[in-house]
Amino acid sequence: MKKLLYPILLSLLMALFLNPFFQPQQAFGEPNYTDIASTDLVVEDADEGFLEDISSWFDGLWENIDDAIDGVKEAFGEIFDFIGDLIGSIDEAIAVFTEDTSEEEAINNLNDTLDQAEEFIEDIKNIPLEPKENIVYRVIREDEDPDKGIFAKAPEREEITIAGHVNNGSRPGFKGSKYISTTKSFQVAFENATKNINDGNSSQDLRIIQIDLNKVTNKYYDLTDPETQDKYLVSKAGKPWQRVRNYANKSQELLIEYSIPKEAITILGRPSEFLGDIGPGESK
Amino acid sequence: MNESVLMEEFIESEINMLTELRMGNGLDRSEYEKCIQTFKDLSSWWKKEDSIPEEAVLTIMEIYAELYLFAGNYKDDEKEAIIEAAEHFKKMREQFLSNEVMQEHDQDSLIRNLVKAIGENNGFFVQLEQGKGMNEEQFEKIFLELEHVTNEISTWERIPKSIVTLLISFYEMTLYVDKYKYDFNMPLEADKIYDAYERVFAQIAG
Repeated sequence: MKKLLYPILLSLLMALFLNPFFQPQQAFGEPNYTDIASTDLVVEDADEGFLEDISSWFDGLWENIDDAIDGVKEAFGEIFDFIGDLIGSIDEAIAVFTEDTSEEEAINNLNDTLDQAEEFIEDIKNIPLEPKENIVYRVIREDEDPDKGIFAKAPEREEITIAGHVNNGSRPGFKGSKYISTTKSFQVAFENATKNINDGNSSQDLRIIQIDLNKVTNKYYDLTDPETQDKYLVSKAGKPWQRVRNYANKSQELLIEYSIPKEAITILGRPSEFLGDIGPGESK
Repeated sequence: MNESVLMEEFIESEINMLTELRMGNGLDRSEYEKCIQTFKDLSSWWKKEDSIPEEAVLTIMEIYAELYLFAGNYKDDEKEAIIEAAEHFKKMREQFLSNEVMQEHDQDSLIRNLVKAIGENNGFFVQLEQGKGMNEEQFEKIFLELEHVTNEISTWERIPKSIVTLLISFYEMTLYVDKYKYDFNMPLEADKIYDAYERVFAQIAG
């Protein structure tokens, strides 16, 4: 019975894919037969031009039939090529799944793969791609312990402005400030967790935490908000500092002062834990 | 194209280019070309003037240092391309600022004390460049004068080229941090320079 599985599957697939090829073929811009009958074959009184009309109509018809036959031949050519490709693909797929093992193992492998795919889809469904109200994300360093809360790197450096934090914060030599960077976008967090932009985008796998702003007790600044930008992302002359605003907008940045309590934190984990092995910045 | 449109394109292309670099997307060649071209056009526009519009100062002041710092985030060819872009811009900027023109502003009296403070002890920036470290006492004196100058010019619509040149030297203090940390192997001095740079940055940029 199992031996019949592939031929049956193949037949079904062929039937499915052949169906469109057996529909009447008609090239774009070519008159269809109904049009020919209603326009060229006009029933008129028998006069001198009648036989001529009939004759030219038959000529036209034969030309159309020839074209149709050519079309059918072409279609069959495509079908055979397609079948060839299909069999090739199936062979390759079987080879991939079986690795020269038995059919039963092949089916088990296939089922396992489908199960994994289902799990993966479930995982994907749980990933929040759209910004959520009052939820932000942070990629944490290895020395940070979210179970204890998250703390600003240099709370004593009160003099560092919000604009200064945004401008210099992503640099390797940055000594920190009283602000903790977070992002409103999971996608940005994911990219930062998987690729190290300070090291030629090399691959990394850092932890992502989710923060509920409703449980954050300190002041925070949504730097994508135009009013906040007008207040804090300004130049020395008090004019809009567009470059820093662009940085904040692109990173969907939100800064929290001093600390984030552990109650506000949900650990999402490392990207490899919820998506398997991934490349830098890749989301599978 | 008039001056304000050119200036807008110049500033916008610089911002776009730096934003992409910050996001890890590499050097946006088309934005860089646009930035260079508009700066070239603006340079000829401002060739015979001793000052430039205030809106363009920050871009001219920061572009070399920012490009150079972002180059450190990249590797191999991309890093080389960003450094090359930075050096190209620096060369153009030096030519532009070194033009000898008649001075219309009474800038000498404003910057006299600042220039004097910088020049003491064989020159603050010369000492930095030579790896002799940062004289903290001298820096404090310089910083006071810098505060005075930046507060004074904060309402000006045009900034004299001589002041822009000074501001560039301060902005580019950040480039000495890595030099002291890695090339001169003086981490403590690098730390001091970094702190000084952050104060200067807040004073001249925002």
